[in-house]
Amino acid sequence: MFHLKIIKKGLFRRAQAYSNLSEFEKSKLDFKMILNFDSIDKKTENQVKIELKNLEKNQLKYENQMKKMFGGVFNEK
Amino acid sequence: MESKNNNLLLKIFSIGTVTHLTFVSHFQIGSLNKKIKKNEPKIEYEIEVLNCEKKKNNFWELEFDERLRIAQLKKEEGKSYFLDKIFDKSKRRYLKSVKYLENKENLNEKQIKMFNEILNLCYLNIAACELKLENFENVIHYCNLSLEIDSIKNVKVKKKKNVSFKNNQKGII
Repeated sequence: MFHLKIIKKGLFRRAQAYSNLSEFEKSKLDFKMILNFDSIDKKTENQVKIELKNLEKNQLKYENQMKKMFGGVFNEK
Repeated sequence: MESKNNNLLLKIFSIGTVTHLTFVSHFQIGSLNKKIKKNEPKIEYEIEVLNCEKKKNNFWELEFDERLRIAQLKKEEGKSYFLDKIFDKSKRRYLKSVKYLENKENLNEKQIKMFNEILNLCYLNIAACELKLENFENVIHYCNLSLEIDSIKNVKVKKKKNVSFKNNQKGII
């Protein structure tokens, strides 16, 4: 299908942009939407799974940074 | 005689002027080693400037076929710049092709479909250029534009019937 290719590419690029802006939950939704399509090649499946793994690593890093930044704010008093 | 640049011709000539051109060939037709110099044939031309019309450059005055042709040409230029990794220029070419396709007044349904297919690709490729330039907020804007076009809505209806889609209905297309 011609239109399905465009949707997959659009979702993939939007998800990359969300992950770079550190809005991880929106990017996860977009990646999972691609996996729900019926007709997927194995290449795209592998690409999406690799990116999902990298995304979770980045999310953990980001949360730890935010804990260091704002974690002790209310306990100091 | 038609020239590609009518504006340049008007700078040199004005309407109604007559010019004479003569071409002289010193050698007649023959093999290179035998240079015959019997006669010197001449060709004379008379050129009059009768009319001069400017090209139509305004995109809202063009017809359907010309707009589609120019948009496809600009899209291919953008593709060639993208492969050479000059992302600024390729983004500008795609934006120009979008400009020719945006106005959809006085068109049939078939013609609108033809436009939408190219518009989708143009928005997607602008998003790819913006990803490389790291303007991530523009990427989301152009991806939303490409996903909201009418031709895609038919796919959305088919997909809603699937069970796998129903489980993850929170996602927004």
